[in-house]
Amino acid sequence: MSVEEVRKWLENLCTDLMRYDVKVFDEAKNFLCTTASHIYSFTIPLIVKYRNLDHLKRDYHILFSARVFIKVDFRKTLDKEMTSEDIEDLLKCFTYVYSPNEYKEKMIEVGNEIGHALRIAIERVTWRKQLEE
Amino acid sequence: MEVEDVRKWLEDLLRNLMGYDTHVLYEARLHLVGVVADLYTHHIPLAIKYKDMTLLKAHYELLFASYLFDQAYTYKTLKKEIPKDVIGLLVEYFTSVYSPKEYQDKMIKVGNEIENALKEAIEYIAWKKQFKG
Repeated sequence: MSVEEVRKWLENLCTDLMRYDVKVFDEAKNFLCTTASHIYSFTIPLIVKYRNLDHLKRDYHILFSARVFIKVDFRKTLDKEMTSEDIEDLLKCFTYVYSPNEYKEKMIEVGNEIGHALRIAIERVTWRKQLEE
Repeated sequence: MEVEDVRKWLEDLLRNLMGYDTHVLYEARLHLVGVVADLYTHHIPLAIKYKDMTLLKAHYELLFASYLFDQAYTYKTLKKEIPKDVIGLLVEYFTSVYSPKEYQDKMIKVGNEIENALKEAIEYIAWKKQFKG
């Protein structure tokens, strides 16, 4: 798979996320950021202690999903479209971590992670609304 | 400085955090995990590409502070004391990342990050209350 295909996928993914309701979007972003920071707060000490960078990649799809949300959030808050620099930033992160033969599998994993976060967010937002009523 | 000093410092720090309102702990954690995710999503690709572990340590005080909030929030919600083995794990994370000669400096930095996050959270909650009228 080529870098161009990853770029196209990222553009579509961000466009799609731009359409979500702010409350659902925020909830999903917070869920992903919390999960990612939770994982890395105990992975990083192990990596530093054993000087083994291999584990760093293992859960990066979660952290990357969080970055997609962070980038989209920034533009969404400003009520602006994503810029080519935003996409380049995401593309750089993705292609620095994964090799071309991993692209497809990781794109699926990121998609699944984002889908999962959005489903949880919708459940939470609905639940809160019910509580308020 | 010794590992036992780190444990004592963590016990005091967590006891102090548990004294805060759950809502404040939640918002402070959310504030920190957003900052952490933004930093690490960017630093991890660089660490992998350039096989540079120093980047992982560079902002660990933020990640560690977010994890302290995570634990304080979780146990406060459960209305339980933070177990000794959890404190033991936190000591292990801290001492795996930092060398004994760094302990004191990093303890101050973690303390500052926690203080800032609490300040942000309290301000944000007050602002939200005003906004709701």
